[in-house]
Amino acid sequence: MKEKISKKQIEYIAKLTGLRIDNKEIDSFSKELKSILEYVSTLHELDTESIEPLSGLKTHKNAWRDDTPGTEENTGTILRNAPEKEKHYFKVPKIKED
Amino acid sequence: MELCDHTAAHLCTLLKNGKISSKEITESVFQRIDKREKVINAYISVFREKALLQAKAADKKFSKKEQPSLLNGIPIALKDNVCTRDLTTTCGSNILKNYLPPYDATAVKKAYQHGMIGIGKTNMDEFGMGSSTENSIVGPTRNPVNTEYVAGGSSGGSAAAVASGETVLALGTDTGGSVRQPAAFCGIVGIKPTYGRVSRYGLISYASSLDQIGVLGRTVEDCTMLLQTICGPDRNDSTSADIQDNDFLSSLNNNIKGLKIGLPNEYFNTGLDKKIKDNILKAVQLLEKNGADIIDISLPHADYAISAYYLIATAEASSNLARYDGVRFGLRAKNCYDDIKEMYENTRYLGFSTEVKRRIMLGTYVLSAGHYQAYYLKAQKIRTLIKQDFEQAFKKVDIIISPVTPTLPFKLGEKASNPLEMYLMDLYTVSLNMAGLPGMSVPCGTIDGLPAGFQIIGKPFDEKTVLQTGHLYQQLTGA
Repeated sequence: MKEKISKKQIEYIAKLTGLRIDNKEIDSFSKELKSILEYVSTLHELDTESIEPLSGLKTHKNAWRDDTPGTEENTGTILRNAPEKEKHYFKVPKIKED
Repeated sequence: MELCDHTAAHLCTLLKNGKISSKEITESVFQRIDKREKVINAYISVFREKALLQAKAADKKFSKKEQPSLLNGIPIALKDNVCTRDLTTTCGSNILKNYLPPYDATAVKKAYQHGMIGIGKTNMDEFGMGSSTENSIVGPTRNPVNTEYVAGGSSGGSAAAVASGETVLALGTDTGGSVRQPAAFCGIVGIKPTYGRVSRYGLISYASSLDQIGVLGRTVEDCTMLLQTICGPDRNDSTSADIQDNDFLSSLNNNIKGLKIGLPNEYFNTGLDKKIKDNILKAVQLLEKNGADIIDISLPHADYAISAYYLIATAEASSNLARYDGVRFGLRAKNCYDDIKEMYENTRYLGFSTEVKRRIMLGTYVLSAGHYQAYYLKAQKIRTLIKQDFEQAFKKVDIIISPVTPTLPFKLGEKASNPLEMYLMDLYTVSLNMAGLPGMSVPCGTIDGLPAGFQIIGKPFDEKTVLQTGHLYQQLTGA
């Protein structure tokens, strides 16, 4: 399977990821992703029709806890990391419809 | 040899007998940092005053004739992707440059509860994405054995700090080899425990189905003590295993008579440096002489591991790193946006390095409509096959011995221009993360003045056998 990644596709993926990328990066990413995808295309040699996908390791019993309410007094320590805040709120720029 | 160069086990004995104080050990570590850190660059931040206070408290426990914990008074370095309360935790990234966690990671909390001395936060490839610790906001870490060479990665700072005497023990994290590979490059021991063995509460996620916190030290015994200290179930991490039996030390000196050791054909045939191969086979022979049976095994899907790994890891990363949006923590781009979307895009543009962007892009691509089945789902199916390979092998053998890395350490900048070449460094390590298995890197001599290592792989939650084997090897070779 030969993969081609156009500049347009790179721009589309960048948009999905919420990343701004410059022209230089569009160029290099399109080349690099192409070479990585070519490398991984050996996976298509294997017939995996009847194989179940593994999404999580089920090697052990998880350490579950009861869902009981509790209180944490850490609003201040959490909000000190906010780039912008007002009173007890995170502050964001305006949100526009597409 | 200064105090900072001794093993944790030896220092523990000296402390217990009142021959030295934790304050003296801690001061010795900071003297070494003053001397070598400028060149090695193992740390992103150090907390000298806090450490000396902790040492004072640890010494008090000895003088009170209480029964202090095993590692009371021993210095530990913490990788900068594990959260430390009120102390910056950057992940080596510009986007978290000023991040102050509101809590300690469980592994850190346990180390502190046992009286260990936190020295500082170690350098790493940004978000764990790299195999050389060259990709960090504070620049590259250098290999203490030869400073023209990389320390490995992504826990290169932790490995270099242990190897240079800038700490005694260290925490690292391992998503595809990030504890084991730098340990091998720096000539020390590194353990990636079974998935679920150590709580990940407070570990900043890279690829959640693969990430695991691990330990680095000068000997298998040192690492065993630290692993025992930090492992166990945690109510704050439901993926931690509900297993209470975490005593690895009492069986450490058991012999290995009749132990079946598997050597996977696929790992020794292609691409492996001939001299590394010879050193590993010598180690295997020594174990055979001491009672182990050596059995050839096959892991038929080994060649597909790297490809499947990078698809899964980047897909998970693209999702995990979506949280860096300039709203709740971390960097926010200033005054160059009209609305929230532009703010997101500009913040992430400024905050992430090229390698992180590359992986987010790849991960998003393989998850996107039209490519999901061909790449992501395919990779998950290959993951099943890789796990089954190990299950089959472990029907015949108790542990597996393999290389850690295909080559010796490389020079700074040598692989910077080709991302794929860097990814291939993880050839022998990623499969363990895919299958959730424990693995340990143990040094086996030097080649042309550079350290070589071998990997001991165990069944899920059978760290005991892995540790016994590694410990015996070190006893036999006088390490």
